[in-house]
Amino acid sequence: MHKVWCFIVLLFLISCENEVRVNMVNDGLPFVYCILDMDDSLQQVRLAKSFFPAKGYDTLGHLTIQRWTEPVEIYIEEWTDTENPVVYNFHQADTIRQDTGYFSNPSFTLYQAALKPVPNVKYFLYLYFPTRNMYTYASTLTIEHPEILTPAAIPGRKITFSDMDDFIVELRLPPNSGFHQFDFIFTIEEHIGSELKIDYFNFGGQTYEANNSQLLLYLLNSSRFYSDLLNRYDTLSGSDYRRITGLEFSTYSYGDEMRLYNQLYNNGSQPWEIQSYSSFKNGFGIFSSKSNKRITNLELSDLTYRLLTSDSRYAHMKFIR
Amino acid sequence: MKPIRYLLLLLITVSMTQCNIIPGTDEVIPKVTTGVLEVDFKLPTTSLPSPRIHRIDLSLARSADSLYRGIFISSANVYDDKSLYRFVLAPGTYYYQAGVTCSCLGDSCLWGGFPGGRYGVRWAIDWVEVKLGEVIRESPSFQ
Repeated sequence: MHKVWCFIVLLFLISCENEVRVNMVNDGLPFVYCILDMDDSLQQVRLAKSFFPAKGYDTLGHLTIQRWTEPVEIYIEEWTDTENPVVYNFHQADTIRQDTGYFSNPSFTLYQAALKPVPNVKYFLYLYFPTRNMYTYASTLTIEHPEILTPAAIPGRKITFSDMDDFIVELRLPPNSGFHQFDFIFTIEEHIGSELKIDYFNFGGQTYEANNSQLLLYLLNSSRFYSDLLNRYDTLSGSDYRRITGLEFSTYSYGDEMRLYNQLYNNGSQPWEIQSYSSFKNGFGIFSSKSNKRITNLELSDLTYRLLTSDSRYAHMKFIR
Repeated sequence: MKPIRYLLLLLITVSMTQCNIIPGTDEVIPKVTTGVLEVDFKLPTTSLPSPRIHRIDLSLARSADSLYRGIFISSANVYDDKSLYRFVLAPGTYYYQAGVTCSCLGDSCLWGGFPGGRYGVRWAIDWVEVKLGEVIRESPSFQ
């Protein structure tokens, strides 16, 4: 009996371990981006390996991302009906070696699949990692196209930016959407010396909307238009000049996942703060959809042109009509 | 000495009445230098479906000549679902033009009175007197 007690006490002594390991071995998690483009028949998935941030990560200004080297199978299921999903397989892209913009980090590997998404349909994105025997997955409900009510493509109706009037953008938001960006895109020719440069000046805004299919009104302030213009274009001298050769309005709507992603991102006080929203299980990242609508051949009013070309506040930018 | 005292009192009284001070506060009422023109831009009555008639222009000029040459002092951004437009202006005479167009298919616009048919423009041109501190309401009448 005495021996038994000694054995139990010994068992307690050797079994007590104070350290509890919260995290697994830090071999990285999949970092996935896929925004289904409702206007394209080629869809892309970007995959990288992300780690829990190391000590002092905030001084780096970015999180640690590495190229994903393990084998992976990527596919999307399209659930147009409840019985048989259509499966689209992704293959590693060999046409684009280096991505640009937000994905300029060479650690992202690009995968592509021929797929034209259908609006209002549930899609599941799966990434299967055989060596880990693990699935990373997310789902999204695709959006439709936004309807642009103002500016309207009506010949003769012109757009005025003046001290006496601002411009109101009117959009009817598509179902399942949650985040919207819109811009007037000015095509501006800059004739400097013997050189001709084409520049694009974007003037617009962005908004989050929680409710679907509602009418969105957004006031674009005329004074912001002129101050943005003054910030972008400096004084020209001699015979140099600028000319507005095109004006279009473009709007992008995104799924509700993008609303959460952007709202949480913008809530951080520092640009390198970690995203706290992920639409993936067993990984980080976002799976959503986007759609675009454009209105081209818009015109500025005579008054706007006169202000740009003759008003003493803006004449130094040397816009001509 | 007494006349000087009366003169000073008179001066203070006069200066107080000149200042537009809100009684009991230090706030000065800004002197009104403008009037308001409200344009009730109703669409013309036609036999065409109203969603196919669109406002395209509402511009003001200081003279008929400037209006003709397109030298406007103000142009409103016009919308299909907004009919009342407000301008805060210095007192005086203003000339305005209001334009509407038609987007019906076929020859409906032509028979509806729009010159040239689809996207032809009907204009209302008139003048209005803006008075200091007053709100003037004007309704363009299309020919």
